[in-house]
Amino acid sequence: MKNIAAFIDINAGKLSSRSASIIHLIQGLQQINETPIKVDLYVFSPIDQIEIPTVSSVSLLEIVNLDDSGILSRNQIDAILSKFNSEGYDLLLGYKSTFVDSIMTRASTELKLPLIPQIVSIDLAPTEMMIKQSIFSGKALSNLKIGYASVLQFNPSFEYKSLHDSLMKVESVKLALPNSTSFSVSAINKVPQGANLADANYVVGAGRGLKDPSNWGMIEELATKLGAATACSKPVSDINWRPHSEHVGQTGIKIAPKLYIACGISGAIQHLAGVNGSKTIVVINNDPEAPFFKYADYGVVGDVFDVIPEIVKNL
Amino acid sequence: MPMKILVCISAVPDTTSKISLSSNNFVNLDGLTLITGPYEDYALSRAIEIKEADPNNIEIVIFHVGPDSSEAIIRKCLALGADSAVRVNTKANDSFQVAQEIASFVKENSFDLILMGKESIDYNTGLVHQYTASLLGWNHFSPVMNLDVINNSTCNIKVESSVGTVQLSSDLPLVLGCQEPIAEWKIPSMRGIMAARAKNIVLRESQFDFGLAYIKDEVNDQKRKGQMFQRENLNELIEIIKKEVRA
Repeated sequence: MKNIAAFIDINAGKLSSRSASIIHLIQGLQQINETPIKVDLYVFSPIDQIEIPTVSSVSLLEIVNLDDSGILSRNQIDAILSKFNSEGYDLLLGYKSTFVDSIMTRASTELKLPLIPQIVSIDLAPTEMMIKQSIFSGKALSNLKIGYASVLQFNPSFEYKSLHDSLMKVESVKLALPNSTSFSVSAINKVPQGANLADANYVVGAGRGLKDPSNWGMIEELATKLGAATACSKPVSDINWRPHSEHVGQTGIKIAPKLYIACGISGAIQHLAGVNGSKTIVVINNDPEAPFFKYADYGVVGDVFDVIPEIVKNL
Repeated sequence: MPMKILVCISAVPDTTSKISLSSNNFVNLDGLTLITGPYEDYALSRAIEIKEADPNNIEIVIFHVGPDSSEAIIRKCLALGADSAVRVNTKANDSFQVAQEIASFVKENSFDLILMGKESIDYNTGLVHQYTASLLGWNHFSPVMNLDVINNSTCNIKVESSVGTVQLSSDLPLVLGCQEPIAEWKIPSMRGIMAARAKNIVLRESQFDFGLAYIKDEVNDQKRKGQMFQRENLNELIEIIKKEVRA
């Protein structure tokens, strides 16, 4: 292991918790390796300086001149790959996103490094890593052993503990991409970038039990009080009560918060597949037979219009 | 020249399947009901709509990596309106292996458009379309929510991106990962089912080894606390929520 490239992301101006775990893992890698390892952190959002857990020989590279569409074009990926080739990275780390996917798959094929996705935990040994991957939407885990030369992509529930508490500041160097040339954009419909759902520590989700989109005020109020992101079930996004970007489940976003509060969601297996990475699940539903109660840590049988305002009032 | 669309499908256990292990400590799929991945259903449905608009100029080929237990699923895709199918006769082990099989087939047989789901619902990696595009050097978009082919040479696409949704156009050839609402799921007609019996499923030998050292699987038995509160004891739950948020 000589050179590490890691993709990190920013959530509300700070290093995201998933990226903090990636940097903690780098601490572990530097500790077991006898020779120094150079670390390049790549970030896609504008940031001049950021506080990170302390690591040695670290640089922060901010990728600039991204297209307004939020899509990396082929010629831009080419430019990133030529940088990767010249740096001679032999270990790539990152979270899951369309940007990161497109770079990691290219890097895996061109640098001839195996890509291991959906990682939930890693144990480091002197010459190899023991990895657990989430499979079947979290219903099972697979275990594999692999050498260090690889591309590792982490599941939202990945956690790696810091070796020490010290923090350091790093300043970014800009890495400008060429203009996107591979496609032509005719319209962009931006959605408000709220708290990042996949990386949120707290999530409040709501379903058809809310009866009408105009009733989401109390959900947003609860979310604001907790500093939580808002989510919804598939039926609610299908009938356009809430944006598709909030849909959590088998065919939507997979979340792994510390606390998930599900309001008026019955708990169809497709929804559970998106939330089973949550540490603690609270379910509020007026139907005592709602299947979600079987998958809850805490449950209240009650009317959401009565229970939620009461919680909001007393938090 | 007709336009050729390759639709790549996965065979996955139904979402409601209970996952168990076999005696060798790996996930046991025997006895589980296999279905076409739901996202691939969207991809195929859109391909069929495109073909229905211009039946003589569009050819749809189904591509699948999997053992002969997948034949029924492939037959259903043919019944829906695909023209022929290719099955690589080996177990699909990982995204890179599957993408290599797709790319090598596409290099031997020219295609204009490759459609698949944005992810398979068994391993959920969402990487096969990315890898395929990398190997072929083609443009790639995912998750695609809307697709129109213009003059068999350009695609108008609506895709979700990191900023929202984007309407764009890109020349063929393309690799696309699809999701709803790109098309309505289709149900095979009796005529389609009869016609599918005569359609060809070509067997292809696997060309790429799978190199990763998997040791074993384990079932993720999450135990939830299952503690219920009465409405009048809501304050106890509120205290727990406060504690969770402070922790």
